Amino acid sequence: MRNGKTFSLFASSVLSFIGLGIVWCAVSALHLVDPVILPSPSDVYSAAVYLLTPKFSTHDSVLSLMCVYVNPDWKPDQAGELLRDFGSTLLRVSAALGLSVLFGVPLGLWLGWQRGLYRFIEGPVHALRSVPAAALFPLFLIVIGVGEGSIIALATYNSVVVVLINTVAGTLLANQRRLQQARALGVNGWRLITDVLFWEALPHILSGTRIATGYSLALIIAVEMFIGVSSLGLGRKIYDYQAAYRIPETYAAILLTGLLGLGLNGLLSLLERRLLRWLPMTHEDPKT
Amino acid sequence: MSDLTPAVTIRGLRFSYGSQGEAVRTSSLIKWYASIVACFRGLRHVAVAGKHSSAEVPRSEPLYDGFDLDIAAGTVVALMGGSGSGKSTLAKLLVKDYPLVTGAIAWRKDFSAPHEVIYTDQHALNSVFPWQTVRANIEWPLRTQRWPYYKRLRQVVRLLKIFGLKHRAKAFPKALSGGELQRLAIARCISWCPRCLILDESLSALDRNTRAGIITALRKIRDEDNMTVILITHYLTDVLALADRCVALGGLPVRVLGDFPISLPHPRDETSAEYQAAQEPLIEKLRHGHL
Repeated sequence: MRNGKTFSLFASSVLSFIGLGIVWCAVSALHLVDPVILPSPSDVYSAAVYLLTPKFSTHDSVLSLMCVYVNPDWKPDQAGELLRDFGSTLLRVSAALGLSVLFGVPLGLWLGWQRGLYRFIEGPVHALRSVPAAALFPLFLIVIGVGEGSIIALATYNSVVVVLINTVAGTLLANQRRLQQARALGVNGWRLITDVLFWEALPHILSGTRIATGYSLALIIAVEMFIGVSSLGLGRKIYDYQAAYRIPETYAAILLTGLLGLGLNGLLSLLERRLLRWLPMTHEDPKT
Repeated sequence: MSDLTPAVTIRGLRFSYGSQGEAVRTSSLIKWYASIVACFRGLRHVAVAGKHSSAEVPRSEPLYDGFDLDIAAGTVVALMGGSGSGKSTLAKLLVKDYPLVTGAIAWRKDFSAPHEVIYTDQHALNSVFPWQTVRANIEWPLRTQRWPYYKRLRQVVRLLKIFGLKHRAKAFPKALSGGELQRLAIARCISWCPRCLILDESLSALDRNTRAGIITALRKIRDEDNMTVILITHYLTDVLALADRCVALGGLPVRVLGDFPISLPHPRDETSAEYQAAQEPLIEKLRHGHL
């Protein structure tokens, strides 16, 4: 029964995508919209195929995205160039996410344990979150310098606050009786944090990470559009193609960005399903 | 029963909610602001006043005023009483949930460590980790007490067997039925052999057969480990099946309305004449609406 339900959910979402595609085909076939604003699906498709298939002849390969880090002057063919941008955006997002989980979760758990301290710094933390991170980018450029570091630092700064606040919220919502019992058993400090508080906060940590993924992808795409920060990245390419009036390529890059977001979200929900399989509040059949 | 000193001695207990500041709830922002102001002024009592401002709180009538009770070690004592008669409050006072200014509650020396007196309530998930399997749940407290591996293994297998959870050992708590979950909660709470177990209506939400099963298991554990059990319940059958003594609480301030010893051998037979005779005074008390 459960498999059937999952399948029908999957099928219905696929169906809705197919429906959207059909609408798009119809709109461009009937010339309802100027192709400069909305190119036909086949143009976008062929642009995407061209930009994503590197020629396996000389030194062009899927690994060519790495070559740029080794030799920045190296200019490959246009075919498959979007792969490198995809790779560098993915690397930036995962670096920002990894760093923010690495710092945000332990710090959040520690603050949730030391509640008095959190109450003291709660105000400033919320104030930090309220400042749009993009507004701080010039400051990051001054402090860290133009380049990879400032992009990742900005995205990390933005998502570490989100992860931190969610982690603390999770620990504050922890079951007090369980904590009290653990304390009665003499469990405290590191052991209390890893054995009890972490698990109590895990649902919130994961949802915080999910929110942070969306934030950091959006921020990184926006920051990549800054001229001179980096010649790589999906944001950079969207901007370049648009400036050169290569509209199908622009759409292909936008769709690829969307796919990147979808993929990251899918990975996180897989992780969530694996790590939270004990959670009683899921909508699944409790007897499985 | 070599040491005849009671496990816990309650003498002249005074307690009211108002005096503990439970009624005061200031928002965390105000507290935060108050603590900053206090930091600047070098005042400590401002921050404290947010929590326990006893002067501003309208004092309610004390729940306990000069309450005395002794509980002998190694016995099962049932506390009965109507709703709001302070049973749960007493249990929470016994595990030091509420701070008491006076030393009205004195545990015997071997009961005084925090892990020796354990409290469980109606909500099994309050004493079970939902992220651990049944087996890991029973084992975790033993790990914290640094039990050696084989001793741990033996205890886990023994408890799984006594509480009938052997076939569910690898399941997560969310997959258990209500009765299994409550059995797991109790098994976990007594896994490290605490000296005293307080059951605060832990069995009330379960059906009669499940309750009977848990009571049999508890009796077995109690006899083997010589545990003291304080049982808070509304069900006379539970009391008569498990307890050695039944204390009826009631009134405001709370006092002991009746103290009935139940000296019947175990296992108890509901149809025997002795059982009926022991039941008589309790039913009499019930009939007058005290319990």
